[in-house]
Amino acid sequence: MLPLNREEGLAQQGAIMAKLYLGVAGQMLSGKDYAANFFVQRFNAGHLKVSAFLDQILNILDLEFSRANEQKLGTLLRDLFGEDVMSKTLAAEAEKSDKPIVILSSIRRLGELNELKKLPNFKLLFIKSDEAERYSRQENRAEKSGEQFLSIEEFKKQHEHSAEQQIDDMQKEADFVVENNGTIQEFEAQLTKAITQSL
Amino acid sequence: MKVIGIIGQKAAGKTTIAEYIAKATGAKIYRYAEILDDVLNVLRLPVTNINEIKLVALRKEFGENTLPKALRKKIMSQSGELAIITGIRFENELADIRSYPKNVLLYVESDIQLRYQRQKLRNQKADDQTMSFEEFAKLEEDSTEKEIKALGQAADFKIENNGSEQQLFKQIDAILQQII
Repeated sequence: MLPLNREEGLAQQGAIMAKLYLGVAGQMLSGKDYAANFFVQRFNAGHLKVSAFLDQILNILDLEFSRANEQKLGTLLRDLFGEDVMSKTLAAEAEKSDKPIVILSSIRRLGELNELKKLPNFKLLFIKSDEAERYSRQENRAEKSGEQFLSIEEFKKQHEHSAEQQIDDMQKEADFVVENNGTIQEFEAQLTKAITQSL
Repeated sequence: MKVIGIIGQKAAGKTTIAEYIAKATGAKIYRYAEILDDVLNVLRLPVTNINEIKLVALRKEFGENTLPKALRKKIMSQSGELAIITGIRFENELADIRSYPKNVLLYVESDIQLRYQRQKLRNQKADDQTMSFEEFAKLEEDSTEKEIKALGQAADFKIENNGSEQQLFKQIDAILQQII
């Protein structure tokens, strides 16, 4: 093989160091936030989420930051301005970030995913977790109001909401599928493997 | 916290009055629809009439009082003693003005021919200059515009804006003396 000239060398270096956009999808309480925080802490990643924009709007409207309000607002905005309205906002923000890795989480629609795929070097990580496991986590989590005391029936019903339904389809689109049914160490090991393969 | 609400039909002089009071008192000017613009800005969507109208659906989803409630929060976080809210168009917005502990409602009236001429000159919207007087008069039959006139009857002060700017400002000065 011929040795690289200076430009080719720089180009290749650039390619190796290209900013990584890593989408994180998964069902409710599958561990998306945990994964995102892990990447932020261990890999100096930036983290942007669709729900943060929804919360900004809920704040403007003086409405509670509940999952129910986020879903209502998200559905309304997508109906009014198109399926990809939130992901366009997310992509624009992600491009502005100066972090080498940007985690994009709470992606819920295939339409959103298609918009994010337009970003150079975008990869999708899907987190799988059993329903029983996810249900037991929700009992411990008070991050969102109104989520504390769901019965298993209510929990299952929430999954039928349109915002949650398309999430299952996203697994087929994923570059990496990791499972979060075991220990934290096992989960983190899979996350580390996925991100190092992407870099 | 005192709120001065301004009601008036299209091109009656609401903005002129609001700006005059703002200059005289240091109060900030608000309108209910600006909440919609704040939402559009979060989404990086252009602030256009069409996008504002689309977002009115927020009222349906989260309740009729969504915008007044949101604007109240904004005013409370930004304003000092006095705030001006202009462009009151609905019954619930009027009720919102009245729900501030101290409030005054001004209604500005102006002849239709004068308002038509002003609209033509100011060119705020795309069809301002090309609209005929007949078309303008027909728009006044629209239910929202009619309601504005009805709401105006509940005002504390009525201002007539059919003369010069000086005459208008004289009336406002007299009102300000009474209320501040």
